[in-house]
Amino acid sequence: MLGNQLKVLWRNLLGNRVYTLLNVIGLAVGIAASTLIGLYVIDELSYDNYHEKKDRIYRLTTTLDLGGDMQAAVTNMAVGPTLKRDYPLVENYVRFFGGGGEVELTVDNTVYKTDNIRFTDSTLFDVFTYEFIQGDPKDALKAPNTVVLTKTLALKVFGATDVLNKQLKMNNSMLRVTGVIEDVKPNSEMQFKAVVSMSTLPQQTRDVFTQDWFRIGVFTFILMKETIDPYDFEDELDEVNEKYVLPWGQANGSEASHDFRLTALKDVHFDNRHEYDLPKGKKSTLYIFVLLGFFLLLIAAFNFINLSLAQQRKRSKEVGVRKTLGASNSSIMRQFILESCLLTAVSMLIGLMLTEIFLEQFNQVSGKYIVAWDVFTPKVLAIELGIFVFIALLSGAYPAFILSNLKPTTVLKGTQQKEGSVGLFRKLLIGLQFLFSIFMITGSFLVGDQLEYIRSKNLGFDKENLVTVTLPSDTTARKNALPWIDLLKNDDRIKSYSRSNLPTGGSPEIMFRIEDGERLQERTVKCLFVDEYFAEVLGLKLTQGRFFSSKFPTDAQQGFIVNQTAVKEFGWEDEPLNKRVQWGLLADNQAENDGKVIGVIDDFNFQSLHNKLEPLILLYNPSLQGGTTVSIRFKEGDYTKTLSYLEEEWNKTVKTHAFDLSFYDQDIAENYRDENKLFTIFMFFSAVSIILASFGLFSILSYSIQARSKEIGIRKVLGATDVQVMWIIAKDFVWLMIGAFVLATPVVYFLWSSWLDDFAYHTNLQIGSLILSLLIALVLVLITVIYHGIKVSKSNPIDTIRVE
Amino acid sequence: MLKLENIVKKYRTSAVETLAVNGLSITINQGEFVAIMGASGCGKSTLLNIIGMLDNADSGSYFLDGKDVSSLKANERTDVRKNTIGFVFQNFNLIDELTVGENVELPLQYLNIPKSERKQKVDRVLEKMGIAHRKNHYPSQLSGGQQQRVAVARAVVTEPKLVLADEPTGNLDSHFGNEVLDILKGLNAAGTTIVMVTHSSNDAKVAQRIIELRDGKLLTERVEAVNQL
Repeated sequence: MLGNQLKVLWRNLLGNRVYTLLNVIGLAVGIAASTLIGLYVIDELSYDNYHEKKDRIYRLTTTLDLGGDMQAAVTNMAVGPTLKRDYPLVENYVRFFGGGGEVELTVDNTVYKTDNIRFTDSTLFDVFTYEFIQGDPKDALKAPNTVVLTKTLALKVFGATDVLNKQLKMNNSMLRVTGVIEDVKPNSEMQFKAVVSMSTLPQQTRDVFTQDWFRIGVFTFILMKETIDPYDFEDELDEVNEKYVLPWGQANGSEASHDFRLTALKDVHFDNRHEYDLPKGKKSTLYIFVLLGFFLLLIAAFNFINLSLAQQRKRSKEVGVRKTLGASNSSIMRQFILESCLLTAVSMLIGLMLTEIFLEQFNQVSGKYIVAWDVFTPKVLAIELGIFVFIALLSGAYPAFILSNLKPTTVLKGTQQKEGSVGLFRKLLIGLQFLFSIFMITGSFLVGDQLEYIRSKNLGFDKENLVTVTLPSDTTARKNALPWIDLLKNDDRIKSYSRSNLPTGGSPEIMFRIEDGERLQERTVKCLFVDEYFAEVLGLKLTQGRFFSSKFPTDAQQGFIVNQTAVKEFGWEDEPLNKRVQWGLLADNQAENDGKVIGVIDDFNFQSLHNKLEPLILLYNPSLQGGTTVSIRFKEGDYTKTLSYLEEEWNKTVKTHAFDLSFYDQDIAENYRDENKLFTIFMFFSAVSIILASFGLFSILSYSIQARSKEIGIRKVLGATDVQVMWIIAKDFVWLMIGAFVLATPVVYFLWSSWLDDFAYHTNLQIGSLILSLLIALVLVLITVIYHGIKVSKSNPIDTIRVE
Repeated sequence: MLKLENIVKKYRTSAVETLAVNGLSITINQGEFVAIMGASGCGKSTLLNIIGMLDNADSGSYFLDGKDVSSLKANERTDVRKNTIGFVFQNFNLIDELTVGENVELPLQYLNIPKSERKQKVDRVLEKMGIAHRKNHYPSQLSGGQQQRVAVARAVVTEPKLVLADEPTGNLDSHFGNEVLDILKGLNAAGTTIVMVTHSSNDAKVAQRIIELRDGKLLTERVEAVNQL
């Protein structure tokens, strides 16, 4: 009997090969797309879960009260050892210091630029799990001037991994290689290419960061003896504040305090609340992705289910005959469930093949490192099995139930059955597909709008014709670069240039005392060290007072420039000029730098538009020995030749270091990498979803026309025009679409608004985008209707009537 | 062979109730060829469906081979049906995706008959119906008359005691119609009981007894003397 049922299935599929192919491929594409998205989501949710002690590791963060709360991802150096010493529950700790910037590694006189090198404690390998290729994890970082390299970096600088005890120079320090480990997994928060023993840091630096409770700058992780609820350890953390922090503050003339908190390692990746943190995952993006994957799968599954239901009319005769000849209800049910299982399995196999084929491109777009084997992990296979059961049952069980309960007396007479609840169910599925499609089309528009908004938003400075050159961190090399900087002075193709510490992604924040009525108030404020040309080069607008000038040598110690936001937040709206500011704070309201506001500039977005504008203080540093950046403003026109010239000159002057150039607009675009990624993925999968929904619509319309061919024939005999016939076909779907649009609007509004809320400056959901989404979906319906309509209009009505 | 007593069947919609069969009682003996006639909507097909156990009466009793089958469960009815009754329909009702041979084989599969035996039976019945050369063709490749022969072959391949034919010539021209009637006559001659619903008084003449219905009731019952010979 099985063979007979399979024969009927196979011949049925061949008889409808276009629709079969559309739907099997459609489902396969849906499965592939949702699998890729699923892999992305799993990867995002699996951060750091490969560490053996992951359930006992917690990150220590703090809310620092310095006349205004600041949540920081970093702490000072003392708190980790203090916790271990005072609380038996704390088994160990590890701290990471530095690592953001670029460093130079020198091996055999060859300089390699690299980044992500961190100072860390020798306890690193006790707390976290890394796979050693060479060396002993117990001793690797115990001694000063030791380094553990990752495999990629070892291969880059030594060309081999068996490099134990070899020497390399990092900036100005010699280091001995005591270990080589496999690269840190991409789904790990603490990324590094090498780790240097903490004891390598100069004693003075360690002392400053250990003794000063408010000098924060290290990531601290705590290993507990058992898994705890972070809330249960809050009393102990508060105790540290009372026992150590407050007394130290009082002794040093500060009322500041720490509110330490723990975050379980598994929650760190999505903990976006802190400043000075590493890039984090966004839950809102993840939710949108989950929804996207789910919608894609549903759209494909609904097509598949609709195909089965649409064929029901055709298959009902077969069922009637089988039942008359002795088939039981259960054997009919089995037959249809078997059929849908087989078709789903075939689609699934094709889908998984497509997943493997497109994995590389997906990795490029999403920035993930998912490998082919990840598709076959138990978790993914379990999800695939769930998808299989869901689709096979839904597409098989419902038709099976309906068909097995058909009365043979009705179907065998050739009487057409009313579509009834099946028709309603199918329409509901199509309506839902429209709803998902409208959600995704609108989403694409919105993400695109937001990106465009960011690109075109006035940042408060002119980013065109502006480049930055990063100077070497090696002091000798930087000295060598001075003649090159002098060249800029005399080149008439260059409008102006300025030296500063101006990172585009963030800004250092230090503690100031600022005038607040009669007293001075301590608070941390973002600041930049700049020279006197900074405002001119960036095109900043001065609203009050003056900019720094070499004519006023006291500006370096006593001159401060603030932005408009600072004026507002500090309550200086009446008269900001001459307000008192201090930094380099000492006890008793004394400070190394004590002076007055000499100018106010218009706000400019010195961070990415994710962040709200914050108060900013510019500090004057005419010599800028520590200045890492030279910003160059070219005159209008093509400056590529000038750049080539500058690079040539650089290579002549600074022989040891490559010319490190970046464009302001590109740097800013880099800040929106996540949004670009989301946009690309969204555009792609929206297109997929629309194509899938069109496949479905195409098949369903075709079946719908078949089912109504007699009605259409009679209408044509009675004089209906082609347009009227098309409207008869299209009417239900157009109403469905409008219904879906009405239902989709609040969902779209709610979900996308929460995504937009992540941006300090964002566009709003445009009603135009919503209407355009509806129009795109309507046009797709109409194209499909017209295609089928033309076929119907060409047919002879009497044929359809006779067939019935 | 079968006995119906006071059979009542109503069809209800939200607006009206139609009495399709109204207290009908008939008896059909083993080996009889009975034609049921009447105008459209008189309850002929409903009666045939009840006899074929494709439908249930609302009230009344139905005895088949002396056994009360009116209160059987669905699965039990299916069992009785597939072992005792063959069906021939006006519109043939062949499965388009199966070949002639496969269509005829289908009822044997539901009886779990071994494959080799099935093949023999199918070949034999196709030979008998004169369509053995069409065994591997699909229904759409056959004429209406040939399709109905296949349908008859499928109805009798299990050698049922009773064959129910619902207007078996209704979709055929007179030539093919007569062929099918001849086949049915032959089957009856070999001992199969046949109940045939027809509009055509000419077709009805092949039966030994003609039952005429009106409004779900027995109007007349006459014996065709010719066929008694």
